[in-house]
Amino acid sequence: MTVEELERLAGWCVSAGIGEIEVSEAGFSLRLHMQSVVPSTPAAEAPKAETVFKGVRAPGVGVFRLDHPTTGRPVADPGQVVRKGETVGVLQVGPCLKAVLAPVDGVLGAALIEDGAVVGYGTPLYELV
Amino acid sequence: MFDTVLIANRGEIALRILRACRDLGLKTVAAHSEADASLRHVALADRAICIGPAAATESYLNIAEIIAAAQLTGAGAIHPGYGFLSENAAFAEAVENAGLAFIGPSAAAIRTLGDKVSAKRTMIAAGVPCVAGSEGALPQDEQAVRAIAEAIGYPVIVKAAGGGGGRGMRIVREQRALLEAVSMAVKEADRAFGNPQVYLEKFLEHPRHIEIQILADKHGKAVWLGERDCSMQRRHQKIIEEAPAPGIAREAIAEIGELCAHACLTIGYTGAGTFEFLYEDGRFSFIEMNTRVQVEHPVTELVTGIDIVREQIRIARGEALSFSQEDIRIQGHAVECRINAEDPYSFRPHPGRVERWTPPGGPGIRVESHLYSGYTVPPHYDSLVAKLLAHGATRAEAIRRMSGALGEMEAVGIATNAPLHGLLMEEPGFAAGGFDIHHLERLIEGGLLQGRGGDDG
Repeated sequence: MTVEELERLAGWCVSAGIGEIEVSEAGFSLRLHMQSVVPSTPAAEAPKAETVFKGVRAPGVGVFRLDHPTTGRPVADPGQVVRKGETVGVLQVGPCLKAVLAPVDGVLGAALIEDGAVVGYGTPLYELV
Repeated sequence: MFDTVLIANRGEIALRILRACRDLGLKTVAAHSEADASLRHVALADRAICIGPAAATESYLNIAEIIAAAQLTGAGAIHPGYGFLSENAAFAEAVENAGLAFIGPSAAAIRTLGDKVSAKRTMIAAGVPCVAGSEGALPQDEQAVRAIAEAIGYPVIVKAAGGGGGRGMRIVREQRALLEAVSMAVKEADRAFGNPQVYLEKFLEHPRHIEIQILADKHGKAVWLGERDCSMQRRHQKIIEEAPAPGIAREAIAEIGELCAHACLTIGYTGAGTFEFLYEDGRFSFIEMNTRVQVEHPVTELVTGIDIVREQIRIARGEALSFSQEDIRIQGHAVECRINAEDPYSFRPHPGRVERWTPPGGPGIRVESHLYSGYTVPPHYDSLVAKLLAHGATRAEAIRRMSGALGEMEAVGIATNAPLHGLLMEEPGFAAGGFDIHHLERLIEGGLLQGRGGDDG
């Protein structure tokens, strides 16, 4: 096991909140005991999770539309593979429509917001995995 | 008539507006930037909506998003607070065109009074005394410019018609420096304000900054609520304001106050507003009008007992002023210290997390602040985090109370200018009152801050 692998393993344990782990391979065994990894991390990571949201966010204020107001058809379907910059939703402000674009390539998750809800700038709209 | 107000501002003034709305039984919508989701008024508002990223140009200055936010949340009115879009005629117009109420004067009034040249012309026509100066913008002809300066008498100051807050000004003490200063000012004004027009005024050497608060309803009634002395400034930024102004005869104030109230009627101005004057050798000279609520409005509220923000909203609702000029009595003395998140001696901004916030209290103390323990002051905006106000029967009592309040106040985690205010409360010139607008700069040049951790301000 290389030092890099060891570091990665330790990192996983910290992020998963695992206190102790034993790994054994042929002719090799390792036991890691993590010291006080838990106390400060959960509180510090809670707000991070919010800012680290990598899915699709609203580009401004508007009424979120799952179905395109002119065609009446869904703009995008959950599970669909989307490319960066592809339109995955629509925001409506009066007569104006604003496209909601995928920030990166990925597979679109289920909508996080109901059709017709008023959203603000940055409101998470879809998971993207 | 509207029952929901969208607050298109942040910080302490947003909270102040929210409280006024609540007192009037109105619902509130907090329109905030992405960096401001944790603001106190956002938590207290009936509804909150994020209008853009931290940068003000994309949020608090984004006219289309703010109006869309109001329409989508059912707000019937927008309160712009101060700064940001509060004096933007295009914004007021867009609000009006969207069928919403703008809590402030008409777009036309903002436009007229926002341009310094047209504001001055309007004031002269309304009989409000102005600083001697050029009639409107300067002509191209160099001979004519020289003649105008000669007629005014040196020193003169070149000002940008579209400027404000001390920006775009040049002092000229002799004729040979005049034309260069004018051409530089024209270039600067064009770049900074998109308006190359400049004008000349007599430069006053030792003026005080005295301003008159007015309220005017839509039924032809206008009142003036006394004056404020805002002479304690650094780089044209007020840091301490008080009312009444020490050492100026009440009759003189009343005379200028009446002129201001009357001017509102002739201009067709409605809402709250402030006429700013330079005061030197017993003469008031109009410099500009602020067509919005001001940072220092609570000073006037303390001495008059009138809630200016509430009246502003009532006026926007078309209601008549519920009091007249005779009802206004000035009681005691009030002082305000602006608490900025900055190093008190180097004046460097010092945003960050406020680990513990302990506001002062006691008789005569009022605190206007959005701070709370655990709040993080973002670096993107103005550094004003609190306003401490002290009211007393006399000026000396108000100052004593302020000293106590400054000592009590605790904002652990950020630096504030409270220690500087503490020094100023003890400073002989301040204690005497009646100092000019260069007083603080002179004190700093004279070594007030030396040996106190930085004098590079």
